Amino acid sequence: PQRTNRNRDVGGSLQRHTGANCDSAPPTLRLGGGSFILPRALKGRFRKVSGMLSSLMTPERRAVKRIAELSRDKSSYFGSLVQDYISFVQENRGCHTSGMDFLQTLRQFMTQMKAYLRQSSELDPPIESLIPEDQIDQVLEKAMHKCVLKPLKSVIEVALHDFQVSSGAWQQLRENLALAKTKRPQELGVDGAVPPDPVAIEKIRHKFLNMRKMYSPEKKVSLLLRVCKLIYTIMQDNSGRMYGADDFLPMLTYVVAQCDMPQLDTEIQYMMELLDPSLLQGEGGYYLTSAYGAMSLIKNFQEEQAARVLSSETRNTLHQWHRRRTAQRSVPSVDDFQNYLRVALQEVDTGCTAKTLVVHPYTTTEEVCSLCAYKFKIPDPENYALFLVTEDTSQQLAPDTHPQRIKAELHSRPRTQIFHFVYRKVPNLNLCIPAIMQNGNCLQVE
Amino acid sequence: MAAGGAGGNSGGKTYSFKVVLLGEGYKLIIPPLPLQASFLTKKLNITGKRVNLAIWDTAGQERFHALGPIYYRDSNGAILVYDITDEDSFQKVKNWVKELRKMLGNEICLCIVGNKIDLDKDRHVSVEEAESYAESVGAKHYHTSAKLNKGIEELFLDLCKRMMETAQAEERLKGNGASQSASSRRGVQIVDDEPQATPAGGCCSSG
Repeated sequence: PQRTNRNRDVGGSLQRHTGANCDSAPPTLRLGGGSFILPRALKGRFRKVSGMLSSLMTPERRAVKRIAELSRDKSSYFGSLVQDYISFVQENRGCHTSGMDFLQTLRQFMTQMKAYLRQSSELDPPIESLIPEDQIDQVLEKAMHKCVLKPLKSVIEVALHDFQVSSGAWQQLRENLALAKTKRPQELGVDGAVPPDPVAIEKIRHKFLNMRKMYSPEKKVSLLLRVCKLIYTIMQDNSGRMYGADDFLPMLTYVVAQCDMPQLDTEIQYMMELLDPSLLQGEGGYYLTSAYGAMSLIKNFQEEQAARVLSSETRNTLHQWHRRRTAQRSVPSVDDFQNYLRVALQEVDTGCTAKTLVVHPYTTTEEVCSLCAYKFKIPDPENYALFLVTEDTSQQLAPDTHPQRIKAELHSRPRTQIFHFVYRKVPNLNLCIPAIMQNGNCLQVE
Repeated sequence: MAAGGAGGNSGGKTYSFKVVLLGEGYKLIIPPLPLQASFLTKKLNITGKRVNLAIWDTAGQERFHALGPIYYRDSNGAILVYDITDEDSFQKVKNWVKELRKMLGNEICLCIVGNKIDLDKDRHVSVEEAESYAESVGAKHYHTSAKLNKGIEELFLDLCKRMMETAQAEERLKGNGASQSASSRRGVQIVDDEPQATPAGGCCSSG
């Protein structure tokens, strides 16, 4: 019975996220047409043959193969989730706001399915019996690429391209690439190192073209690594010197410009968003980041030429991206702490005292105020209110607002300002007026 | 944040940290540069714990400044190197410190490194100024000479220890947080804090 519950949980959250951005109906079961009957009958025989072959496979390949089979078996819970999701994506491409949004939903789905497979007993034999504990995650990751990304690869490519075209980014990228291609290495910031010649550029272009054929973000990244190593080798062979990022990043920018492949932009996006997040810290993550950086420089090339720095808009995008990434990683710890709110009592004579209160997202400012009154032992709570104070503003919160939601909203902004929740006396108008009168600043009322 | 995740089980714990290199002259910090010199990994053993470092170099030219965030995101530590004979490079380190604190808060361990101590006769950044600045921003200051391979190993060892402490403190905090939220009831509940003295600067932190 426990397992059934878990299944329901995963299904529930899945529906929430697929339905979140779209008005269309949640994925529905589609029954195979008559044409599926014959292959199905044959399948039994194939299975026997493949069963024999699979004994010759490595445990990893066996596990991936088994998961892929399960993902196609709609009578299994896992299979129905995967197949429904795939047909949902194929039919509802338009429901995402951007390519990034689309890719992130895919990544989320794969991560959820991995978690499901680890918990469920649908896999037979269980994955633990085939794969050592410390390798299970990467095997599941590989399997998810096969189950989800492989069938969706062309759909994803078309969708990403459509987003680029409709936003005007495609046209702009092509123009900027064409312009950047005319530049000498020095104009792109290369200082001294010798660039790859046209033959080497052609070789690199060929690797990038091969990269496009792959559906696995990891395999794509490994090709990107080979390109980066080739660039390094050329730089070093030509000089005998060692080079750091100061020299490498401009050279990579030059190479990307020379390859003149606007499709590389969506390739980088694909890898960046779909690569297993645990790999982003390693070598692959580093060179992927560099490729992303090189592409950003090219995309902003015209502006950059004029201003010598990236536009503030691009900086914002980068910051947002940074936030999202870090936010994603910190989800579990944020969950642990999201019901706490630190509130400061500010008194004219005694200064600040702070207390941490447990405040749920649905707790109103009014409730928080009465809590503060009790906790700080305020004799005249009717004169106090809760304020949101930032570096240069102070705002009294209305009784029906929700401080936790305000906090969450502030944290989700690309640049989080420092802010405090302060419980203090409301400035008394009756006291203020005489003060103004004394200064002689009050308006004369006729 | 501070991905400084400890992997594996509690027995043979391995820490993985990301360290970003920023500032002028940073490439001098690791003299025997391996072939691919802008990304490298380093394995250390500290008090019986394995530590894997992923070291990310960044391009220092002004035109690449805006790309900083994509390199330093998720870093557990940052090594900011200036040239002791070049005041300008010290100013640039200060700018990075400001940006890192703004973007990553206090979870990142900052190392401010005065390099080229072999050229002390041409020093333009005073030891006192640099050290007191580092202290004022919660960073640690180190003196190195990449040329003479001096102070570098110590720098990495010390940084690793600091990042481990941060990661361990975070684990403890996480443990506490989990048990607290597990015991919390619905509705509003108050967790008492120690009575606090009025802080010197701005008031109490929120968050």
